[in-house]
Amino acid sequence: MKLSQLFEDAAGKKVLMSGNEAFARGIFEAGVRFAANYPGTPLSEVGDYLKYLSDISTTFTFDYALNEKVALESCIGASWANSRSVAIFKHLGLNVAADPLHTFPYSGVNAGMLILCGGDPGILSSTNAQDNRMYSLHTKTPIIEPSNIQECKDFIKEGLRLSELYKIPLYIHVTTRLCHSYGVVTLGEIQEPTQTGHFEKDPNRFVNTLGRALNNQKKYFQIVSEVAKNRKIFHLLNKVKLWSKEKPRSNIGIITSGICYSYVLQACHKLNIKPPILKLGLIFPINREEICHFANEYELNLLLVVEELEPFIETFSKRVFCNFCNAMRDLEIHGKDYLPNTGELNTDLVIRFFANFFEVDNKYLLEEFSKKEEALKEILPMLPIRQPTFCPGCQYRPVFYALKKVTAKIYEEMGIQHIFSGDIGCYTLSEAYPYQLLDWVVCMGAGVGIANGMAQILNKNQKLIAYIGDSTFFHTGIQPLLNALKNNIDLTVLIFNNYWTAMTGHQELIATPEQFLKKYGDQSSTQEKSIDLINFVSNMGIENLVVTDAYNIEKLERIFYNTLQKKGLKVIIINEECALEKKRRIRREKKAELSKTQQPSNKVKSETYYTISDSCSKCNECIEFYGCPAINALYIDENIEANNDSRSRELRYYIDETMCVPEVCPGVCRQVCKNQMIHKTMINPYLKDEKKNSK
Amino acid sequence: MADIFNILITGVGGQGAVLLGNLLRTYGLTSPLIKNVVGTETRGVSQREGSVSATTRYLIDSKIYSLDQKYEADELISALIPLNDAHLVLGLEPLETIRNLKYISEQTVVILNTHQNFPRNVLFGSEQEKKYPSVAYIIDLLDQFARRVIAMNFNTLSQTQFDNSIYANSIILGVGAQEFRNVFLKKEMGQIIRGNLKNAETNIKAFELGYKLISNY
Ligand SMILES: Cc1ncc(C[n+]2csc(CCOP(=O)(O)OP(=O)(O)O)c2C)c(N)n1
Ligand code: SF4
Ligand code: SF4
Repeated sequence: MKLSQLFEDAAGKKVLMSGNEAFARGIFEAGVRFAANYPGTPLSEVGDYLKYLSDISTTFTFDYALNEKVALESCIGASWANSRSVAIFKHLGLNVAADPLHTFPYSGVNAGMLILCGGDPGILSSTNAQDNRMYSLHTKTPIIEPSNIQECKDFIKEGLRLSELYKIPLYIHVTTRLCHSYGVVTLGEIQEPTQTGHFEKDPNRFVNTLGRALNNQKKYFQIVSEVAKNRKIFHLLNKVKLWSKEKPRSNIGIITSGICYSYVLQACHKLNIKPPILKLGLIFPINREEICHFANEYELNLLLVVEELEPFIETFSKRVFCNFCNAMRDLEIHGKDYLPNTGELNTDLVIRFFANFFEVDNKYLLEEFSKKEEALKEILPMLPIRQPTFCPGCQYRPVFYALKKVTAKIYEEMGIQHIFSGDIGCYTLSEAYPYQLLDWVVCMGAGVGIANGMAQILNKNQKLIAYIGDSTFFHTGIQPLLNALKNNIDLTVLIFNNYWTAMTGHQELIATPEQFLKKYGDQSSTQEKSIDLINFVSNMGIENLVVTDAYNIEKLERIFYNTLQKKGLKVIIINEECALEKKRRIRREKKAELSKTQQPSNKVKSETYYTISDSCSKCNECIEFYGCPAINALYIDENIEANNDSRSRELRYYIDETMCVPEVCPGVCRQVCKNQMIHKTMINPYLKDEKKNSK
Repeated sequence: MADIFNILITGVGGQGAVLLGNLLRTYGLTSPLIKNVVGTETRGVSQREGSVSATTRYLIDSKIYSLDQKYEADELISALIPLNDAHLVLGLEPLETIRNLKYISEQTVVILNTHQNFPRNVLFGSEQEKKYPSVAYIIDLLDQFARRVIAMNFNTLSQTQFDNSIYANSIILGVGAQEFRNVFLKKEMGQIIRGNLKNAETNIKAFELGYKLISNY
């Protein structure tokens, strides 16, 4: 969907949008004045949309904060000064923001405030699957969870209303599947943000010291239990699904929430069963009376709980019926004793769970499932996967290529083995073939962090190299580096200054040069000042500091070889923009340039191309060990389909023009070819088109 | 009461699976036959050449198209297709299509582009021990599971007809639309293509070529 359409004033219109678009739209409709975010899947795009909104709006401010703690704290401040605010980040970010999260609810909020947090139960793009609902066991923050795209938008508005009503923050729980799904949404009215920003002093409430904190804690707990008891809220956010007007015949009931509700519905259809379903939108705190009422009303003797990861709802349900609900003390409750507590759920898993308890008339369904699974078990492991690698022309490739050579050489010459302390970003792909230069990954900032301790313990024949990207450096990387400096630890730190938060979709960060910042309008209220990472690190007073560009392999090898043999803390800054974003940026700028001069866009100057000569000896250095994906191979005999054994056939190596990025990469593959079989040519794109047409 | 109709698109990053999914969802929003639509796309870890799949799910009035399911309008929420439940698979790449065998069963029609995209790491990387299965094997396998498999090198067809292989997806879409005429109205599909694709006229021609393809054979 076009960004301009996403923020269009068109109440009542039905549009298709993704969960992430719906969240951004909800934030817009609800008159939120301030939002802050640190990017992370599954919610990265919400920040991208809001950044656009802040650039075109005079009333809305958005901030790519340095990390999640700062994002959350900024939103607390905005809410205390009476404007609605939303903090947005991925589940892992809540760990970083956990400190304020445990205290500020004691003071509560003024204008409505939400924490929108995206979980990743399938670990599709994270390092763990932690179930953030568990945080509320000690923070007591109420949790609401949308189960479809419309609710993604509407729950933002409801959540802010409730937060304002009770003067406490609310937590919105959502997972990858919903964020990335599309559905039909009816747009709503747009509410203007409040325009006054005023903070009303109240030390008893806001200064959480000893006696005051205890007092505020009591008040806060009191409010949360009022939320729990409010029947109106229960019925506003939760829903009982019945399949017909008559009372259900089965004595089995289901409790579920979020995307799992859709799996439950499909499972019921497939099994042709019609149990009453309680779909929770408010997951915490639980209204005990209403849950009991659900069981009593439908005379349940069995309750099945369907949720991903931890038995959160299940545990609460069990407590309700054991300790509270007299009539239902021996209600049987099942959930995680059948369903897995790792990974995502799906309809098939729910069907199997239900089949244990319901009379199932189409038993063949389960047989088919097993048959299919047997077949898949044989076929799927045979299929080659498509392994991710750095983009064509990526500035990281020459770095890891050179590092691999140099560390191998040092091992040979001196018997010193290098250990690679990893961090999170595109450079994590250094783990993959052919580089394989990564020994662990834990969380952001942990690369230098873990090296801090290990470097002080290691024997002489092992040495450490730690990686960190620029976004990660400013997120949680400064303290571990200073700590290493303080102790002058024997460690080499590679800082990748690629100007963007690349892995999550090229968001800008504090180290993005001002002239590169993507602005959608003149109003841009986001970033006022950029900080030059090189300057910043230079001022730390690190004795062994080297700054280098990335596309010269010989130079890199020289620097690595010299630096790695030194003692104490060494820092090498690889200063080179992310190739993918640079390519896009150059194209953007070219386009803007052309539209300014009103030249037809096909009058582009001739371009550079790289080609592999026919006398290439197939040493595989470029294609396999350098591994730029723009270098590829074709079977010389066309008839691929006839021959099953691909290895006996002859290949021709070539550089794919559509993938090679000569405007960014200065032909690094030429540097790795010992036989000089890769050539640089100039070619006029006109000719290229003609060539294609004549084919 | 209504039935759910499931479309799965499989391919490699950059082949247009995401675009095709978008197009089909837009059709779902505007078509008079369709009461609700959801969908999603799953990309690999990177923007780069990874496996991609997209789903589109329609809620269609049972009177128009009956699959013996009885859903209410608000019951179509999950964008994921349950096991064995794809009705139409648009396979843009052979290997990626059998990777999604999970969804293919006796109710599935598979339109397969036999043009292969070799994962480079099979030739020169971490997967050197594994083979890219032959297209003959892939078609055979699909035949075992699916109701009907229509396999052809649509890239070549597009190249010979339109001097460029990029219209292959529109041809495939046309073949799929013809297979399920109760779901896809030809005129409305044309409008959606016109409104959402570059080179609309050639894409519509390609769609129509696909639409007539099977009856011409
Ligand atoms: C606490 C936390 N927040 C967010 C993320 C998501 N995330 C993964 S990598 C990354 C940024 C990496 O940026 P940078 O270090 O500059 O490396 P690049 O991708 O640019 O190479 C982010 C934000 C995360 N893994 N953990
Ligand atoms: S996005 Fe940028 S940093 Fe990441 S792999 Fe691609 S070129 Fe390299
Ligand atoms: S010049 Fe060589 S290394 Fe650089 S992008 Fe092109 S093929 Fe890759």
